[in-house]
Amino acid sequence: MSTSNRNRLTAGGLIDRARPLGFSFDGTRYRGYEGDTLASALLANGVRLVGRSFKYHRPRGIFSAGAEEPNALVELRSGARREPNSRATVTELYDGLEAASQNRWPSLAVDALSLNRFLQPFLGAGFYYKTFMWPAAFWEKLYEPIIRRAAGLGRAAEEADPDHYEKATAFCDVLVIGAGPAGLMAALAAGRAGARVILADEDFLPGGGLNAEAGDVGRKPAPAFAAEMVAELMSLPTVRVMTRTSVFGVYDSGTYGALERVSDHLPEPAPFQPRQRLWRIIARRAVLAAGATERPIVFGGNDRPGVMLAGAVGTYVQRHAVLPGQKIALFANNDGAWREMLAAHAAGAPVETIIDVRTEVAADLTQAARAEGIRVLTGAQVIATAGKTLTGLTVATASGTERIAADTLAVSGGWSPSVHLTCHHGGKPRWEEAIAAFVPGTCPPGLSVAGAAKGVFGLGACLKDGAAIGAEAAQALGFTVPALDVPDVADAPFALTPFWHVEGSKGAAFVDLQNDVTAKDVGIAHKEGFRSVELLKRYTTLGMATDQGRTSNVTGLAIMASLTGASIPETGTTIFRPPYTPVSMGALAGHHRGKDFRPVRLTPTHEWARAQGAVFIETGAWLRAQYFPRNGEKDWLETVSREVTSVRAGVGLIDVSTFGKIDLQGRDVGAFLDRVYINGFAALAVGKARYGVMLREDGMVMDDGTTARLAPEHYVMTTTTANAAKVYQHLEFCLQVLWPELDVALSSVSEQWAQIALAGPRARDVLARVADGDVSNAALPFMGAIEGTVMGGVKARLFRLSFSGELGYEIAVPARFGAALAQALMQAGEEFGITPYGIEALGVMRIEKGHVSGNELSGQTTAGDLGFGRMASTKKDYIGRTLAARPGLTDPDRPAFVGFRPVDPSRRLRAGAHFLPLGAAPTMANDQGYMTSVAYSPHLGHWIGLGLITRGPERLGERVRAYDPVRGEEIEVEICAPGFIDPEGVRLRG
Amino acid sequence: MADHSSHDPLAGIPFDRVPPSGAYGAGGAAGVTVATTDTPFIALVVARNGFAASVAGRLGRAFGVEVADQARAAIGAASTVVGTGPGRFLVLSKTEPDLAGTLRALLGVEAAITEQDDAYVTFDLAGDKVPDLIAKGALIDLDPRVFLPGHAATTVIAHIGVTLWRVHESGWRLLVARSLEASFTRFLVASGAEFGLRLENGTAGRG
Repeated sequence: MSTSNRNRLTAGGLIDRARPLGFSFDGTRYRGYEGDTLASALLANGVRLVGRSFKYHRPRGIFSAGAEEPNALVELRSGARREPNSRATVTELYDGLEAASQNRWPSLAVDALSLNRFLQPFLGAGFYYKTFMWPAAFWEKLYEPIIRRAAGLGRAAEEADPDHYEKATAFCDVLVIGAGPAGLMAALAAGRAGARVILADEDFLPGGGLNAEAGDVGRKPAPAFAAEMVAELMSLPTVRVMTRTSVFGVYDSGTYGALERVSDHLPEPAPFQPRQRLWRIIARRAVLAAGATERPIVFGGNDRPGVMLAGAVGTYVQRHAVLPGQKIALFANNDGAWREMLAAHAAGAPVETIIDVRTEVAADLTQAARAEGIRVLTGAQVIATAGKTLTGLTVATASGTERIAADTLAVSGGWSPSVHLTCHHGGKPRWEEAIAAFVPGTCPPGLSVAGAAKGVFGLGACLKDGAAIGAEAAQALGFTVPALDVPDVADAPFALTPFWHVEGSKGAAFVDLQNDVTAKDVGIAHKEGFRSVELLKRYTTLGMATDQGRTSNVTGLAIMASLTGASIPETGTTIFRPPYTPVSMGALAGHHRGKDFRPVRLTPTHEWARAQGAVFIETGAWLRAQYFPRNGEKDWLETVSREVTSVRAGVGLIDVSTFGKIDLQGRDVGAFLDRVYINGFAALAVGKARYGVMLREDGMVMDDGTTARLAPEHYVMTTTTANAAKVYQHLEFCLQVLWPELDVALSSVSEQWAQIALAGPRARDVLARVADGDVSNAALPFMGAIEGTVMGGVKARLFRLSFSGELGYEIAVPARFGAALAQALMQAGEEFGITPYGIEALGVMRIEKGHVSGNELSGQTTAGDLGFGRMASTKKDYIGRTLAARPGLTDPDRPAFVGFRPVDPSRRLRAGAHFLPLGAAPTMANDQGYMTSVAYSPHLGHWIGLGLITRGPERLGERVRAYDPVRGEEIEVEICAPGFIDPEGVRLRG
Repeated sequence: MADHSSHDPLAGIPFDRVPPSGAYGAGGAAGVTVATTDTPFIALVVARNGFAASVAGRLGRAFGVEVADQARAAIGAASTVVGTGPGRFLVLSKTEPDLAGTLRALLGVEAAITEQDDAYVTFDLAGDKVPDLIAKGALIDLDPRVFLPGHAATTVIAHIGVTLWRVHESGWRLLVARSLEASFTRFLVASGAEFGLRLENGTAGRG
């Protein structure tokens, strides 16, 4: 293949001919220049066939020169950085760029699946709803995979993305979206007034339409004028110009989403730069100056490579100095397209024919065209095209049909303002007859629209409108706006005759090129009753996928309108939702991927536990020691059983700093606790702790834990690890909203205190060696709580509490002393064989003891279900009391908390298994509850379980089936009391 | 797994360890320096019902600074008082070993005091790029023309609760829960690498 840039003009354009860039497409090497897009560079090298279509695998070329591109989607880069569906028209060329066509097999030129074209009669609108209905079971295994292979876009990378993405927030007074003529003027007006301005533009070169404009602005070439404006904006201290940045969504309270493609124009990001950055821009006011998108005319063969929007032809010629073809024809319904072609012709593009549907066209245009030797056909329509890439057209005129040779057909059906962002709060665009286009309706608060985006066409008018709207935005915020000198540009009159579809044309006439939706498909949707635009979209997929119907939306609904006989405004348009343009998942994740997906909290003894050989596990936000394997242990179960046995026979320790710890001070704390716990706390003595259960307002159990009274007006509450934040929030709500009159001050002290639980018959012996004061049974009885010191003067709080069922203590010290405390306890306990244990052993012991935990506190259980019914006070009111008395929550048939043991002790129990009566069929009607927690009890030598079963406590000794269809297991179990060890609590009180 | 980009400043650093002191990211003069320390004495003062203004006044007089019941940091020679919520103040001191005791004596029944000496790790950030770095995690306006020295915020950065204030023109101080030191440092390193970040890790660490 040629590397000659044979379609490149020798002069002009905004490319740097001194900076050639090598790139490859489907393995062939080419050369482009700095300032090129991939599309312009391909066209410069004569590459016209760039992809195969979504459904019919038809050859497709480059259709536009911007974000609206439906056809030229390529895979960029390779390996882990492979990126599908990249629009060649907005892909900035870089040296070494690798691109490949997609959705073709075996090659772009010869595509076996283009046979789909011959199946076209069967693949029309809604085909998958009709064709693959039966048998339904085939859908997942057969139909869907086949359809996905045959149809579709590119392939995602299979490896993890090696690049870094990030998110950031910016604030401004005025956000200007789009740096075309209107946007530049708006930004300048607000920026000169001293407002904080962000000017965001999708392109790598700000200027918008000015960069493809052939004429002068303010006595300078338009691109030079744009460059000067940008330079001034960048020099203003309060203005930030963000190029390569797409504002994709308007959210609440002036929040805008934007994607900055920091490194997409590089082979790989520069060191320590992200690939993309997701911006949340919070703007007091915003000006949408997003311009307009040209729309095509629908006719037979309008998808052939070489058919291109007229404005795109102009952009390639003026901005990139590329001739899209050697024999160019125009098919249009408006004057603007004529002027575009005349300017392109003047720049060296061989325009040979202009075909206009209108019979009357302004004489100055027809004369100018004829003076250049361009053939003019008015009252004419293109009815067919020929060639794999375009070689000729069939044109119908008043005098018959004729064939015209052309390798490029510029088409223009008029322009649609880019109203998308104005709809993001539900605003409906309004039809403007004069320009035959939708213009913004009600805009999101604080957003105003300037220039072509609101249907103001013409360069001069856009400059003026931008300046006015920018000034207005700044003034509304109280800024004084100095007068702005707006260059005068004479705008030619706007003349257009609405025209959408050549009805008598031959061959498939595409409305939506990206989704292969034809005019005929719109007809099918109409015939089958899917006439509303929203149904039309879902049924035919018109307007879906990466381009979101930029070039097809209005044409599609115009065709539907003509079929129903309704007007376009009556037909309406589909609503535009965010995002305006695709946003990569990486950008949405930012820093938060892999192990940084969310923050990880480390316990005060984390490093100490690591040194002890701990295996860690993520439990909510915390990383906790799961168990501490020793050499020779064959699996986790052996390790955990050893830890449990050591604790029950001697002593062990575990870090429980992860519990929520809430400090409560004030005169009314006792009364407050009485209202949030189901049981009474007002009478709790100083120096004692009490177990409590809290309900949600709806009567379900929210959390459990202990609260200790350290001084008459000073309490400290512990919550479960999982609910620490939720309980704090709940208490704050109660105090701020429900009972602001109570004198209670809340403070979280979770981070201040490291807390280590010491458990086992030798726990007191160990504690006595570490504590500075008396910890005898008399000084610190069961449920005692005292303040003191340990390790020779370290402030400490000692609680005599037990989760394991053994003699147990929890010792709190300031967090920085947590590891030292662990070490001191290990040393003190050495002679008793003290063992560090993890949360697995903790879990085993609490199941042996029959304590509830997170599995049982599921948000679906009541105090009664969990066996706390008698704890609930009848003498006071408390949160959840009223709704806990609902009939459904007091139904005696509710599953209630009990223990389970396997009838055959060699069998393993499974959490999640459902209980069924013996001999009953496994149906929902026979379901009586489920197993919440299981463990292998080294103490009993078999598996044990806890669970919820209908009328559980009344059925002790009864046998039921534990049915586990997920694992395909079924075990006979016996219902038993939940305490498997020391049910009388002798060990606790010892 | 793909090999990490060679540009990953956290490559090879376990996610559950605080990244070690050193230079990260772009070479040359560091755009941001981060120094972590243990502020020796910290206490949280929560005004009891109706005493917020009185507590603010007493704190101001005691520490020789102007304290208001709002998101501001009153920075004195030895102590700083930061408003973290209505009627809530974090008091930091370099010199008061029994800060909580001193405050109890000062405020009596007007406030509840809790020791928080060990709850936080202090991050001192300096350099012109600090606002750009923090903007990658925080949702507040940190424009140096808007967020002035003495302004404070209690907010969330990269899903981590943070109290921060601007100490002087180019110095910012952040308090982060001790258990989140490693995760927060990782965020700073990953986000600050493009500016060049120097980390001086001065916390006692965990034994």
